[in-house]
Amino acid sequence: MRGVVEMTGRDIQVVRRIRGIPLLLGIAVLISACSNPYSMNESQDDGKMTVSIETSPRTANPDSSIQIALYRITFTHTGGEEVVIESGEAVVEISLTIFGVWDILVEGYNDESRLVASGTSTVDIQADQNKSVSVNLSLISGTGEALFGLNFNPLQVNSASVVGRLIDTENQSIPLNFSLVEAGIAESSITVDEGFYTLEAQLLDGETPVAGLAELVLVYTGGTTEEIFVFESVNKPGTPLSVSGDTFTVAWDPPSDPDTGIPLSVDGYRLYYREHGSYQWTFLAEIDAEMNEYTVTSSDLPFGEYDLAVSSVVLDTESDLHTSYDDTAEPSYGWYISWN
Amino acid sequence: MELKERIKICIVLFLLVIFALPFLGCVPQKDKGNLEISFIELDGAKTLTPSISINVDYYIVEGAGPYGESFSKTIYSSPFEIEYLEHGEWAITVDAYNESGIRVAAGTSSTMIVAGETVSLYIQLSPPDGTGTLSIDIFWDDTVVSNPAIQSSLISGGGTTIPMTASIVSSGHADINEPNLATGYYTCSIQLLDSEVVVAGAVEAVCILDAQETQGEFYFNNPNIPSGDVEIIIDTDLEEPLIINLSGTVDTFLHGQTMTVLVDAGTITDVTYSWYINGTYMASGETYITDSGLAPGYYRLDVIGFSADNKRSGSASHTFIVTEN
Repeated sequence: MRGVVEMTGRDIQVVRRIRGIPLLLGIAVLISACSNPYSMNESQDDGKMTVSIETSPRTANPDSSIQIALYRITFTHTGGEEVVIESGEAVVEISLTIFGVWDILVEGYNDESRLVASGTSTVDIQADQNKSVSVNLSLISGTGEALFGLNFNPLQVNSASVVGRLIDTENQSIPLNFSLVEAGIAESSITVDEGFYTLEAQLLDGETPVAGLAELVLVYTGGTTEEIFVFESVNKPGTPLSVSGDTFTVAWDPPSDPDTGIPLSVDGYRLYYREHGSYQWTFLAEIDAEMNEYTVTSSDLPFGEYDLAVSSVVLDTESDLHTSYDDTAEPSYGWYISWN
Repeated sequence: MELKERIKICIVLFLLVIFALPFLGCVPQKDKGNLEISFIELDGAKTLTPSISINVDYYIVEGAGPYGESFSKTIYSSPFEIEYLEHGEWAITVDAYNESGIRVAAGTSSTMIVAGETVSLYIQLSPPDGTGTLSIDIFWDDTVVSNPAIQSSLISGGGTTIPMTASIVSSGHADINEPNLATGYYTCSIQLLDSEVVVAGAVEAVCILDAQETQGEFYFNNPNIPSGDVEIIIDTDLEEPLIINLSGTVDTFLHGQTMTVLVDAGTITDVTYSWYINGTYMASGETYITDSGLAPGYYRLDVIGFSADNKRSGSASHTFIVTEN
């Protein structure tokens, strides 16, 4: 975008430099993809809001369908005679030439010829009678397997773990054991009775939930319900970087062309801060274009915990803030200054 | 009388005699009459008959009349006429024989012969007295008749019903054997039942001859199987997931603002909804308003609905961002 400096550079690094007696903590902040994911863009600043109406049903379903493709209806007479008919329709008519009481067994098979449901009834039929019998089919009782995968960007989470559980319709909780099978991938499997469950899962960074979900899970007898969930972004709690002394230095890389890597010209930088836990950025300093760092002194800020951000300025246009919580910061799981 | 007179008288008498001679044969003999006899035989079509031929080859007709008069004649067709029988009561006996000389029918009757008249006499022929045997085999399609039984009877010409017993000798086959039946014609009734319902039947005339066996076979290949019709209506209560719809969602909103989201499950109205933010239960109900204090960040809003009977359920989700400014 013309007028907006787009910058790329090396990953954010935490640099420790000793300048004389005081320990100066230099913190390099990469100015890269200078958009604050939590900030509204200019078009949103005018107060407009887009309200959507969506249909986004999500249910973790088994691997095979329970849609019944074939009904097998078995009539068994009290005298032992048996009549079997098959139909794809849910309404079936049959003429019985043996009279008396018949037991009716209806079995429903899906398109993979797997028995998914059954129901029973009886009918007492005599010659020249017409009777209508309703048979309710229910899912076959038994157990099925549930497999869950939870994917996330490992760069966003410092100490990842996943907790989860299934809650059945009787409100009984069934713990799930998620294992990190590789960076950014947690998995869990469990065998449970067929039926509906509420899946609750949360991605933790340390003890802090950074993302989570709840979803309906349906398990069929003999089936496997498998679902992979992806957390594109997480709410980073940030890692405190402890600094002591009267000053510390914040550094960043200048912007560069993302394709060629050639540094881009800027007219200067602006440094912002906010108290950790608050959401309002406060201007701290204007920095010349030739400078890629700024030393914060106790005259600028009192001791405390601060989030930091920097923007670039070209002519009168200022880029979005690049904060210490962006994925391209280093460490990528976010940080804040704990200065005392 | 003169000779000339005598000659005239003789000529006249001669002429009278000559004139009368042709009429002498026209004068019936005194006390004689004629008899024309016809036989009435039962129609043999569609009749169960013995193995021997009952086709009549010839008849022996004998008559006994007044004054010891009698006759006996062998004839080959009916009717025929016997002439010059004495006036009076005549008893006529007819025996019919087949080509093998076996007597297959007989009949008697009597009539009054009137002199100078021809009397017609009709004689009903029937099997000769004695006893014979009736054997009947009945066959049906055992693939369609599941619970067979046979009802059978004979009705004599006098209207007497004689029950018969059928035995099922194998699948789809029953037989009847009735010995010592008096000779004559009967009406035979056979009915095939399936589960006590008549599904087929036949009625046929039966001829029983003395010392002969009459055999018959009935085939019921297309029985009218009664049926009861059953309509099966299958209700598939398969716990299919509910289709949950969200409305009012926005992708982003400022910190401090709220988002009001409505949920429905289409035509299914008796549903309980539970709302989750990032996997944490927040509230229940058909409407959810996000907390205005929700920190800037990424969020996933989930709602899970259960029908009142807990047999159907569904969920929906929406991701949104709370921005800082």
